[in-house]
Amino acid sequence: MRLSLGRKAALFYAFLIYLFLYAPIAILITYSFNQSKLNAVWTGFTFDWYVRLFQNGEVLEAAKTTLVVALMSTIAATVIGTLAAVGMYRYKFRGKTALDSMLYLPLVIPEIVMGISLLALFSQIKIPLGYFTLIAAHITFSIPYIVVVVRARLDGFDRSLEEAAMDLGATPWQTFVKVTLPVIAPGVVAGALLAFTLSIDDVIISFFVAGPGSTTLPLKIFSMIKFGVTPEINALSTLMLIVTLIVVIIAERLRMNKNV
Amino acid sequence: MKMETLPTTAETGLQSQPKQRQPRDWAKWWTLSPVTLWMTCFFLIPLLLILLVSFFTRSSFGGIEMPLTIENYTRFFDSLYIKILWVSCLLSLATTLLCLVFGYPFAYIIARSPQRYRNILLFLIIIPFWTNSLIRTYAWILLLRTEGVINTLLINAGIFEQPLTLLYNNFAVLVGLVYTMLPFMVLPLYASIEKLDKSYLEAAADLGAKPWQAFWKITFPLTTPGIVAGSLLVFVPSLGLFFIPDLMGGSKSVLIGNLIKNQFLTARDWPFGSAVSIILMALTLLCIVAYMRTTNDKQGKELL
Amino acid sequence: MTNCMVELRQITKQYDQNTVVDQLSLEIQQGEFMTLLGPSGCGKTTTLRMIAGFELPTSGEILLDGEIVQHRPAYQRNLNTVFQNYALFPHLTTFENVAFGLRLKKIAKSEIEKRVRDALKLVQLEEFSGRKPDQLSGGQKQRVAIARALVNNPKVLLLDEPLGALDLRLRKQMQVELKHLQQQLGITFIFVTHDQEEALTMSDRIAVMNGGKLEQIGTPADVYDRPVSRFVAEFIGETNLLTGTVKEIGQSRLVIESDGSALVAPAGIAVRELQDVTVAIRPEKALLSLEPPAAADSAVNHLPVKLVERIYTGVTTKTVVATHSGKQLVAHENTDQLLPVSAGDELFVTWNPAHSVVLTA
Repeated sequence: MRLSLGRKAALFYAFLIYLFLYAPIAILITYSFNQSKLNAVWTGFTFDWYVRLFQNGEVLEAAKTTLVVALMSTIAATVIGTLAAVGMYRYKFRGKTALDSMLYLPLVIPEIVMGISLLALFSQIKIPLGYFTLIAAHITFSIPYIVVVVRARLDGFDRSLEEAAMDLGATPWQTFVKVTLPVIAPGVVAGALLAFTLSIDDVIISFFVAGPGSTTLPLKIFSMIKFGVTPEINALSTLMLIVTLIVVIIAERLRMNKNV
Repeated sequence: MKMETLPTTAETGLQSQPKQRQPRDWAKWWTLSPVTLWMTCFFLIPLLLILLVSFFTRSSFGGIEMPLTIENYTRFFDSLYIKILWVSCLLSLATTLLCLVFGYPFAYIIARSPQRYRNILLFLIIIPFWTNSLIRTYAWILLLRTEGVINTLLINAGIFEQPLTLLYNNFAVLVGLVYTMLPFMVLPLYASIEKLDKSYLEAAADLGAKPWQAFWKITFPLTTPGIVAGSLLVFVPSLGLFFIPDLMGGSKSVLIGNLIKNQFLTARDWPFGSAVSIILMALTLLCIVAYMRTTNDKQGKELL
Repeated sequence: MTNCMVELRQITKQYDQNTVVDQLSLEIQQGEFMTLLGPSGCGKTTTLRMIAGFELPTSGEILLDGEIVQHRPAYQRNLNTVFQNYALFPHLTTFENVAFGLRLKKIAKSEIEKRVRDALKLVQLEEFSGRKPDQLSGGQKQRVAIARALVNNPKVLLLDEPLGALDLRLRKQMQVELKHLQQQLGITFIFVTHDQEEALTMSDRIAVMNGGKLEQIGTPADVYDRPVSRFVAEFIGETNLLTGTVKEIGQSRLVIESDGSALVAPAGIAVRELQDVTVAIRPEKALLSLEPPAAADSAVNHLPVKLVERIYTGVTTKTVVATHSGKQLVAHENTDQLLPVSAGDELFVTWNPAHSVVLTA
């Protein structure tokens, strides 16, 4: 295939941008297998840093916290967000615009504002920072994402399917379980997976609402980086990148395939 | 937020009907009340709370006490703090511009690439969009620090004798911000370029427009919603990303996000921190209103 | 009326301030094929949706087999709907789609199996039971939708423009099939369409709706031959409308002056002298001739006209003529026996006074 000069230049440009986006990550992953503690020069392949990671009690504890928080908040946010998306798709009601803004606003305001406002709330009502506050905060920032993803799925949803179910004798609840939910399931799962990645990756909001005994992995990484660059951070980051990558691949496949 | 259901039309009808609650009303209640309750408790009330706190006085123990005051706001307009806001805005603006300048051609190339590659190319943008920005920031620290990859390469290649100071300055912060925020610019740009009907360009060419004229007169104006949405998605979050200045900037790189963070965690001046947050929030809302005015996107749909 | 299956009493539906259905009353008999016919926005679909239970009337009552049902939700009404776009559940196979209603009723598995098979047999789709909706053609989806509704033995079947998405040939075929199915099963059908030809072909009775109101209700012959308003005359079939003034009210006939000619029409409509009325004549009832009828033959209406153009449509030719005042009329000529005239030539339109329909609305 012969390409015009302009086309070649365009491809080269795109390649440079991809390089900019991926080279640092590639280097990070590479160095997580480097023997040298100094990072910069390649001295040989090793799994040492991964092994050390799994012997580090604090890291394991943070991993556990991250997973528990992500699972709990994803489940709760998915239930609340899916119900909300269905309700907002189905009904007109007073205050719909207000609810709409309340769901869009968290997506556009700086996370730090949400973080400190939650911190202010928890400290005012004397809830000690810990698992509960982390989970509550993660549910809050996940709900809008799930609503957006599920509503996008509902946009292609034929309203008369619900009417057909009711017409055939299904109560609203049966209609939801037997028709609406199966049809929008890919959207719901995609939303849940995205909420899960958001939760395991969140730094800013967790930073304010995590307690001393409930450090998550990103917070652990944050404090480790402040003490200096170490190969363990590389290894831990690599593992987190892989988890995110897997979850995002599944989620995007579900989201793009409208015909599932 | 009033969540009780609307009076059914039967109730407002001319003939008085027996008031019967439709079963659908319960479904309405069950789908919408959890989200309303949750977002009210954990989003709306906390925001109102910091608005309230911002008018209190800091107590000597780091708590809040009476009297009510606007001193927290007037204090912000001291030269020191207003300068922080100014620098933050400049840095965020620079980030936005750089993302736009690099992102637009890139989004254009992807959107006009052959259909069979397009999804995979797009997917390669979506991955960084979702990956942890802290880890991505860290990757740049690995590259830029004194004993980092770039310096090692340069010295080993004999180009420089001494390592360059690439980290801990505003340049590093800018690199970190652009790197983190670029996908947020590219995705809305891609969306608006991709849905642009090619026949407009063909019509323009047919009417005698040269490619660059067609671009300026057709493509660019029609993709402004994407440009504005992308700019908003880059500008606003970069104001609050405190960890990039924290980790990549020098001790002088105190930006508005760091200021808020420090007021809450270090200085323990919650009223002042709240006031700064409210100012940041107001600035954000101003941007969103401007966005809606320019694009007529009443729902903010383009933003996602 | 002992065997009235569906009765609407003074049904009104308003959205905000818009009245979509206005004081509509209608009785539909057991086993009847009733068509709601009208242009889009006339309220026919809303009426159907109120009967189905998807919309609550603003006022009025709906009776289903003698019971007041307007407040009952859709799933508690013993009737089923065939939707415009079929609304087949995309995640279920043909069999599961048809079995959906029966499963909800907790009917024994073996019986479900049997009834679904029977229903699919009825619509000739036995071999397709394992397919998902997106593997079916438009006509097949249509049949599945019908089977899914009929399998529940509804008292009434509601059909909302069910043939709208099919191409013309399939549409004609399905019209016949549906009509046969209805006669075979003896179920009350309420059919919504904007296609007057479809309505004339299939219905026992047609309710013509306009602006949320019932314009006319009657057999296809009633609404075609004896429209009660300009709207009905124009909406159903092609028609020529002449405006005129009542000159004479006789025992058995009316004389109306139009365009300088006296037109005769049958009596029997309440008019007063000098009232402005419209006379409607179907194109196939209008004849063309080169000579005026014999002067004594006052039993034939005639108007002197000029030929404007001819439009070939196959067996018949649409011939457009114009009166002295320029009013254009259409007559159907047999293509094999066209009069030897060309554009601009003078000739006469004649018709039997019995075919003049006088409209006051």
